[in-house]
Amino acid sequence: MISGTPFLLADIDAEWHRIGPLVEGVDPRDNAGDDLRRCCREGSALCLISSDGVLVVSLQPDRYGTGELELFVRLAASWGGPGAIQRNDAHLDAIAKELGASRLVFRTLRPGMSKVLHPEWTVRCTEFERAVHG
Amino acid sequence: MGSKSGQVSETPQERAQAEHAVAQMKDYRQRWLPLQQKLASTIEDEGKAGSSARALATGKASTDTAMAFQKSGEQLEKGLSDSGAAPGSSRANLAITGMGTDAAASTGLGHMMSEQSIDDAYTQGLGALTALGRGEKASVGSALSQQARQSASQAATDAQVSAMARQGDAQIAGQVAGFGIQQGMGGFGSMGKSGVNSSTPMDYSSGMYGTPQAGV
Repeated sequence: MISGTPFLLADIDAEWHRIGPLVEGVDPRDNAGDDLRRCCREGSALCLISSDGVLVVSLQPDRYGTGELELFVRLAASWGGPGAIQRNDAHLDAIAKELGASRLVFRTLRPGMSKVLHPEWTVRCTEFERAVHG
Repeated sequence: MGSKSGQVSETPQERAQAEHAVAQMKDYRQRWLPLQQKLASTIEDEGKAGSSARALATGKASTDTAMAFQKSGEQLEKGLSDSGAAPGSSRANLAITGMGTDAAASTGLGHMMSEQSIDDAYTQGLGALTALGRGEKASVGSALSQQARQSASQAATDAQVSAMARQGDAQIAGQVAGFGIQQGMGGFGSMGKSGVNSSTPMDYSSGMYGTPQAGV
């Protein structure tokens, strides 16, 4: 439907019974879902659903200060079978293009994501951690 | 870290870019949401009892039936005439009346199929709205066009079958009548090929129209 994709604009609160469990699987932080819902209500994020799953996306200025926009994928979760990333990659491109974004960005807590992504995806920052000494 | 309040404040340029991003999303929503809602309301409207889509579909089913039976009716009359049943004769009237009954049944069936097709399209449309798969919007249209094809094809088949059956019935009726007359005139002994049914060009002994099973 929207941007020639199977996605529809959705009211995140009305669909939360379906989206909530997916969010918990992707980001176990307590406030992860609240933050998504707040941003959608305020209009700084869009909630899109299809038979395959849900996308919550935001537009943001790129980090290099070029003035271009990037589509920040806040949530991408599927209630369909495996391969949702491959199935929806082109749809994400179509939505991003129409929104005027030139890049796609997402963060993940899941290790091994690079194994399922197309090689053109690159890691642009790395988060380090260690246990506190003493 | 970089300011008195402990937070790095945005530059005016960064603020403008962020506002631009929000405006873009707002514009996107404003462009697509009405289309999405229009699709929803169209599908809802088409699904309602007595909707224009239903009226159109049932009207088309009636027209298809009328057209198909008109054509087959002409063929039936010609067939009856060729086989010796004069227009207005009881045999011809029996066949034509029977065909009228078949046309009514076919129209009823066509209406039922149309209603079912609209229900199917409605269900598919709702499926599209709840995003039950890519390309669902296309299948809403295809369900309606499928209905149109089904209606025309069913009406044509019904008309053809009816014409054939009615012509066959009329000929059997002619044979039975001929048989009765023959009996009255001379009994079994005189019954021959020409005496059974002179108006039927078919050979009685071939069994094509002679056996009750073949004609009924």
